[in-house]
Amino acid sequence: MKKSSLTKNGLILMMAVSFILGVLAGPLNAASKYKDYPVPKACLDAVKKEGSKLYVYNWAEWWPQELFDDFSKEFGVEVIFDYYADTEEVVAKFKLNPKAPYDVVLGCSPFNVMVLKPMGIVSKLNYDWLPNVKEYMIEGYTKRAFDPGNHYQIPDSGYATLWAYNSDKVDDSVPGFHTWKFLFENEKYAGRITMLDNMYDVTGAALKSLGYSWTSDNEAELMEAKALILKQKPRVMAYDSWPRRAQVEGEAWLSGTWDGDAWLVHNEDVPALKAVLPEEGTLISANTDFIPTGAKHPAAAHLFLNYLYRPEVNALLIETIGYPPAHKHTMEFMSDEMKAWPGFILPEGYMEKCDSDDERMVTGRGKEIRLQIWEELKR
Amino acid sequence: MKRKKIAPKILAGLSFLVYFFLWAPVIVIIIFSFSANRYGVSWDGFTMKWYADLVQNAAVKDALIRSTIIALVTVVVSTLIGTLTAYGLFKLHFKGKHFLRTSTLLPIVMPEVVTGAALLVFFTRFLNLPLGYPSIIIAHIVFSTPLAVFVILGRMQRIDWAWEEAAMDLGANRFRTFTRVIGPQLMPAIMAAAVLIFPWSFDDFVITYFVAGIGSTTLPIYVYSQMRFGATPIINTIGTLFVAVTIGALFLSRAIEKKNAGR
Repeated sequence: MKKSSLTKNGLILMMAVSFILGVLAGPLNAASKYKDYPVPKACLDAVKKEGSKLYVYNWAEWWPQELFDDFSKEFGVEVIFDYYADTEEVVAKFKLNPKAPYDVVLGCSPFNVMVLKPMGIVSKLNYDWLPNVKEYMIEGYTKRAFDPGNHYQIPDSGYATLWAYNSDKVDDSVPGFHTWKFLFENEKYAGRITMLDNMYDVTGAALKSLGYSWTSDNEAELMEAKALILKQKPRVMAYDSWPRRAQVEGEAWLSGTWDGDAWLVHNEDVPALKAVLPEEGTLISANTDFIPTGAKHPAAAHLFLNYLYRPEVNALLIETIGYPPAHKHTMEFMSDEMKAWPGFILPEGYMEKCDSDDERMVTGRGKEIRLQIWEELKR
Repeated sequence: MKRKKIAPKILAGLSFLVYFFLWAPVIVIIIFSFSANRYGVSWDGFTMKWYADLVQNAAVKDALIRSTIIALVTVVVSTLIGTLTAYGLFKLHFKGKHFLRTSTLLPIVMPEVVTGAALLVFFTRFLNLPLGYPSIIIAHIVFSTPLAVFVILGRMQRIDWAWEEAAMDLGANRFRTFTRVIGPQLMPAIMAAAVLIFPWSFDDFVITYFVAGIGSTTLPIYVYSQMRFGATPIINTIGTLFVAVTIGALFLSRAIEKKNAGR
């Protein structure tokens, strides 16, 4: 994967500085100024005892391959991959086969964990084997109601649902542009809009646009959201969670998406693509990793999660996937352009307008009503 | 008079449409797999870059090797079982034969989702078979063998069985008769079955998706899983590869049939 030029420049600068100071050897990476806290020997012994293997379940072609290759080389652990195309697929897989022997599942959402945990599929983490995570996790991420202290999952990065637009085709100077309301109610760009193919994100955005909570399970509020979604439907060209092709070909001008996916398309394909962090607020959540109870190599999984929070490894991950870090120091090494991208550093007071993960959305009435809305929408 | 002339034209037009929709997407994929366009959606000049990327992509390469191994094992086992089954169904007379013969069609008429889900539950809850190569290969044999049975049965109906009687009259036992007399006559059909089964197994997505374990991702499953972040040009090259394998197999099967008919 391509490194941003700033990091390259940073590297060159570091090299020059180290040369001048006569500092010898050591990894020439800006992030290495922060200490790596290795796992205790007990963990490494357990890794060997398990057979030095790690079965990873992840999105295909997302995370940088060198991150896994380096891990493999350093610890002598063979990494075996399996890939999914959607986190709903992960949930379905574990429902059919609860003891599926994956050692670590990467890139899920907290909602997946909320659904899987009561089924006994998510195992508890051993923080003695996660010293980097303990040291470097941004404090806010350790206080989330669904898993205080992150005992069952570890966020590897944050994410926010937002919408993106092609600034060559769309006039962003109209008043009220930077809102969910504009995405749902504007008629000017009918047929040029894509929305996420995900009932939680579409209903959530509609609820925010109406001034309610993203995770509401109030029937009257959800019915209002439903009316808004159905009214918007004729103007939507597709419900598509990965509208990259349509964005690249200039078919889709406004798209519901996630901050990191929008960054990726902006950075690699369509420089004119810009993102809107809606004024009404949004859902602030995280890309989450967990160890299933069927894991045959839990020590290797801990070793990997601890490795993931090593400062330079985390910087490599975040730079590639383009989602805001959950690691205290990683943001310092990102390019200014990335820091300025909506969702990376939230504006003062914005967090108060946002909602975070809440079980009421994915269980009971909250889920039932959303399913009904979605079925009616897709009919 | 006028009506007579219109009908063939309509038929020709319809035929053209059928072939157009059959071939156009395939040709588009093949052409764009050589296009320098980064998104594989328009022609920006000739390049082999995506094929180089494909070869360098370890995940794709592993998946390709796995799919090939699975398809080869499936071909060998399915044609073997298929030949024996067809021989038994053709030569022997026993109660329930008709039922057995019809029921070999089951994997073909059953929706793949049903077969896949049923096999998954069967493997994990009843047999305790770990998911991976064994489960995939067994599943593939299940849906491939009927093809072999029916291709070979068709050939058996055209064999002159007097040869078999003659061989046995002359002192050859049943096994020797089969290997020396009947077997060679069935060979074209067995080969035809093999080249039909190879792409059938190589391309299967639905059933494999259910029974695949960790580290046994086949190529079709990989293609599906990388639709979010994957680069489109590589998908085009994989598509071209599939078309080449499938069409290659079909031509091979046609050639074998021709040779067979010429005997």
